[in-house]
Amino acid sequence: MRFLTIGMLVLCLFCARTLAAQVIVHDSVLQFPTPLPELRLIFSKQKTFWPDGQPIAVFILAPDSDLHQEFCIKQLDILPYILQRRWDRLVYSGTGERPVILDSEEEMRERVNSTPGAIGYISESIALAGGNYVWEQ
Amino acid sequence: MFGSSKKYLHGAVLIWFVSPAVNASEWQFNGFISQGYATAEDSQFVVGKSGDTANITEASITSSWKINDNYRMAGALNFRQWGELAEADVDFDYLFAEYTRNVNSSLYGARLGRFKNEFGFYSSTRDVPFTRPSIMLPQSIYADYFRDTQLHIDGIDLFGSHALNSGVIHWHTSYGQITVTDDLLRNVNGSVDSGEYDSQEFYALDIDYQMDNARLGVSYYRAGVDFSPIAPALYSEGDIVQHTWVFSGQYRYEMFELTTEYLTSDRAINQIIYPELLGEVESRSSGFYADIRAYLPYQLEAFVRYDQHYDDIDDKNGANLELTTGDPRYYAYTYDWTVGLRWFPDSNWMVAAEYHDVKGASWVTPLLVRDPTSQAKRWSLFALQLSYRF
Repeated sequence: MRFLTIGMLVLCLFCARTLAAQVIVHDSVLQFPTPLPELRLIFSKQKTFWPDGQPIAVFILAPDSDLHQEFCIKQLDILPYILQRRWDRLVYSGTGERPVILDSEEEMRERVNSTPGAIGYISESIALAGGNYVWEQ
Repeated sequence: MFGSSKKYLHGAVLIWFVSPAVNASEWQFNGFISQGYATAEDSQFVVGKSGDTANITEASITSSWKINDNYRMAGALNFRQWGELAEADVDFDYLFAEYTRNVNSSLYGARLGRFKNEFGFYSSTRDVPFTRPSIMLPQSIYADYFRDTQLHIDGIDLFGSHALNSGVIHWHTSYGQITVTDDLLRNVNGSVDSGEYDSQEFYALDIDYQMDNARLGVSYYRAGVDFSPIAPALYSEGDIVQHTWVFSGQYRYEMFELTTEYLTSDRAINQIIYPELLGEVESRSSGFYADIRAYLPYQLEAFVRYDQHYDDIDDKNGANLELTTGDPRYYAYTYDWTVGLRWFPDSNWMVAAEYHDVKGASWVTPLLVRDPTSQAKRWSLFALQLSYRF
């Protein structure tokens, strides 16, 4: 994976629009910092409840978007298509739902802020502009 | 369970699939379409007499409607044709109402209707190109000839999931009936004119532990079919009952993933092809595969798999089979080496190709009417598939 990550970083050098992604959560889940392995289970829809029993609402951008790809590789350390295969298994067996796919970071910000139990991500520059509960790992 | 009301249900659920009345935020809609091609040498498995086939098409639309925190409905309408193994047909793959309740970060629930059989890692999505590991699943565990028993169940499913350490345990207990199609008749008896199979009661248990980079599972099912012959001279009334266990494990390390599954199945055949005086003819089959795959840059996936199957573990080399039926010994076992590539040009498309180098024919159809003149001991199969999801 290290080789892959370095490869992706080199690719990122040629992609001026790419910015680091930052996990954001609704204020109702601020007390639950989660280690990376669990974060992967959350974004692959395997883990669907917070420790207090509150359902987890997962929001992502389009799987092909730069930010989603970068979030998977740099933050989750998992290739996007492996992540998608995990939720596809739930979707196509009827046993679960995929993450809700949003059109823009603005929408992501609104939905995460207004949905109890929500988790999502936005690019760092937007996160730094304020107004979101940025999750400290 | 659905029987004669199938047409009515098709209509009702189609309306539900396209209904604008449901709240979009609570409703998810997914689907895929896929076209394949297969060619075989020294075998008619999948491809038939012509030696190749493009009648490999799969498509599905799925919908999930979350009514509130506790109630959900889900359905999938499938089209599938699979060479000689499955004739073109449209049917509901699942269609159920679900109730779930959350207790202390555990989830408990029940589904009523038609739901997927959670057997091994792949039976619940065995018809979905994007979620299964290859175009043709390892036949030792997911034999296409007996796919009716692994596909879906009409009945009740009780299930739960619990956080354990850094992973999640999922379990299912299911009870009901399987859907028996003409494909079972064709693949077992060789002809749809030979009679009719009906499902006996079916029950199953599945436990699955998903960790971040590993997954463990154990599944059991009991399936049975009653057979009523149309031409009693060739076949007699009887039944087939199977008790099957599968143990599954998967481990991912950096860009590599190892998957292995082991199956043991006790089968009892009462008459059908055997004389009444033999009573129940019992045998134990076993299967195993190991699959190593690499997730490469540029959304490319490469795998190598070894898959082995013995139809009767007391007759691994087929000596007894040859003695009692006159069929060649290679119908008692199968060793299948597969290499394959899958490429995802973007998140919607997948191109897959694989090559099978096979010795033996224990899962080559039709099972009860073998034709050694068209089926060699060593044979091969090459398959291509293009898939799109939305």
